[in-house]
Amino acid sequence: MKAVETEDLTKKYDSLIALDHLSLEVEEGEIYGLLGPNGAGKSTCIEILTGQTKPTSGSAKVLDVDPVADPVEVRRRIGVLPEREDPPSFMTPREYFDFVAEVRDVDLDGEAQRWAERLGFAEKLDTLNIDLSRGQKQKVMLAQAFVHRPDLVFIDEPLTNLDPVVQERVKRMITEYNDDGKTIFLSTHDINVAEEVCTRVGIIQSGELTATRDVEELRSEGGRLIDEFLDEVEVELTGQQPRQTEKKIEGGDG
Amino acid sequence: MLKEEWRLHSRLFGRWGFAGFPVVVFTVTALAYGLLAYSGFTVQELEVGLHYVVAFLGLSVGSIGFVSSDAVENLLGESNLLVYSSRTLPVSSRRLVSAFVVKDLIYYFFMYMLPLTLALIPVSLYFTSPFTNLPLLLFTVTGAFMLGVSVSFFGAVVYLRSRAASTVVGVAAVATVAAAYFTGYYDVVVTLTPLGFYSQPSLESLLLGYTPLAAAVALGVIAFSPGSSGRDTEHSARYGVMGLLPTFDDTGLTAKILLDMTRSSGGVLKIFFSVGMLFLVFVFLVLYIDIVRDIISSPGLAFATLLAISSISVYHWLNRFDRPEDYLMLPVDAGDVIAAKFRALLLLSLSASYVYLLIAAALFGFGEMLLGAALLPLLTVYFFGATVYMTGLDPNELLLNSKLFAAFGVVVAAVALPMFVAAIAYVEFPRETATFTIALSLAAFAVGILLYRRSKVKWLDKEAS
Repeated sequence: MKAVETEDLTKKYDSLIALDHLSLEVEEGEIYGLLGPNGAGKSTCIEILTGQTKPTSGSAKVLDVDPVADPVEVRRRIGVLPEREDPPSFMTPREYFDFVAEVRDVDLDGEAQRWAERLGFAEKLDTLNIDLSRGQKQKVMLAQAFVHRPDLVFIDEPLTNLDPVVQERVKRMITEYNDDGKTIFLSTHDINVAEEVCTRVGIIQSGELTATRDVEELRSEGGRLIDEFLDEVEVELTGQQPRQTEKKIEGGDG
Repeated sequence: MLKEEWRLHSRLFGRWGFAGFPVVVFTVTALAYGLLAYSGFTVQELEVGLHYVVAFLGLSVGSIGFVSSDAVENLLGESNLLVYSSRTLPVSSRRLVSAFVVKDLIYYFFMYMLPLTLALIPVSLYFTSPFTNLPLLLFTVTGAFMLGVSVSFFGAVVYLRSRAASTVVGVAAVATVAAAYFTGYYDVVVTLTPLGFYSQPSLESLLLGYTPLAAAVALGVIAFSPGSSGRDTEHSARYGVMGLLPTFDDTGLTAKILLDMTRSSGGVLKIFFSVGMLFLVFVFLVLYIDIVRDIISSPGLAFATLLAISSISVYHWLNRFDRPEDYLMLPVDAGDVIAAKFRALLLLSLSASYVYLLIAAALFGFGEMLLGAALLPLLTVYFFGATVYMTGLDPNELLLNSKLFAAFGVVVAAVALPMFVAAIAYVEFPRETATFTIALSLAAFAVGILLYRRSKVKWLDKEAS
């Protein structure tokens, strides 16, 4: 079973095409990174896969469940860190995790406390979310995506608002979580994050998946993700053909 | 801010959808005035009544002071680009908030004060009853509205600073008005409001009538202290306690919504305040205005209808402290959230309503309230069903849409109007009226449940599109 599968996924907002026939596959146990510039369609892709919005056409499967037909079941099985959302204002992080556990009908068994300690906000567990700094709110949101230990976690821009020390800690935590055989699907415009954390990266721009690279393979070839990325973006910016057309690039996935 | 507000709403509802809002208010009000004039009210009495209505509308609007510090985030904060986007400019926050308030007053004037006042003209022409000059009426009606806003805002701000001080101020204010009434000095209190200037226009009455208003505005601005809730303070876990309430909800959403309500500034008091406002006006009218007392033969039916209508404002509060986005990462959908809001509304709205009905029973007798008390939950379900079907999880914004507002007015009137007529006809035909109101309430309940169920499907589709 694939963790994520999409076929010709398209999303249109009036005249804007946010996703254009996106087809990709993510294997279980991967850390898959969707890398692209701002407005490339990364967040739209995650929103569709997590059942937050419907595609205009195309199909998708997440852990073998159709997010269009059964978005609640998809969200039951996964964890989601949305890009711009804060935890509910009038709850404390402790109450929020209790709420998440109640909604998900799971026993967290001290998991919330552990995540709070690992991310460094344990002393803020009883402070109202509305009174937390942006970075602390991001940590709470990160923790809520993981506390129920889902098999697949979607993360939209994981390191926003975090200081460099916490960024490093989060990157390590993501890889450690993956060591347990869990799948991570993250979107980022940060090439370093993609290179350091992901096992495979898809480059997206203007809603199209233009290339997919195995990060380990790329390293062994002596290549760098930044070059791949700039080559792809260059086409968009200058209209020129990418330099790496001579290289073997998997167009799309599968 | 004026331009942005216009663009925001005209983009949401279409230019004519927003611009047509005052026309709808005018039409609905003119019809209501017509009915009242037909019942025996003179235009003069309607003019006086309008001052009271807008003053209480102002009291309700000013209750936003209850959310004080939360307002900075929810009303004037990041979610409100009108204020927030200007914070990077070299302008003080007090000036920004003042500009925001002035902008709101301008909108309230054109959206409500102007149409509510102008609607008297056709009634005056039709019944050939004399009409006070328009500029004076607009001036005093707007003044009465501002008085309500500033008094309520000041009271709420004092409440947030000190519960004891607010109790003293509140009791003193009520005692003063009550003492003035019972000792025959009520007119003196009236002269201290814009209504006094309206009744006897002169320089002296202008000064007397508007000085308390100016004082209330000044005191409210001085006492207002956004962000005084105490940042970074620890809170004991109360989510579990909310779960112990009889919410009949295994998703945990209702407990979360109730926690939002109790934790936000003003707590559940704001619910009692907004439910009680309209109710207390009506109690006042029934107790002390002869013509109203004479025509309302079953106050219990009228009170129950009013309290059920006030559940609409409770629904507004329930949607003020969360956003649909809060739930997007969880295994729930819009239907689950709407169901949780329904449970929370029943708990809060009915609790507050029955407290007020008990007060009414003390004033008018228990027997008078019995039928109304029985019908209250049925009617509450109807008004909730209609509101949630038409506005989803965003009732505040959508009620500024003129088409929707007009349709909503019709839906509310479809049940409220026959109930009020029944409250009038009760003395003549008690058995028939009781049978009719029970049948109507049961039918309204069925429609309410149907609308509620359909709303879950309707807003689920909208959420995902």
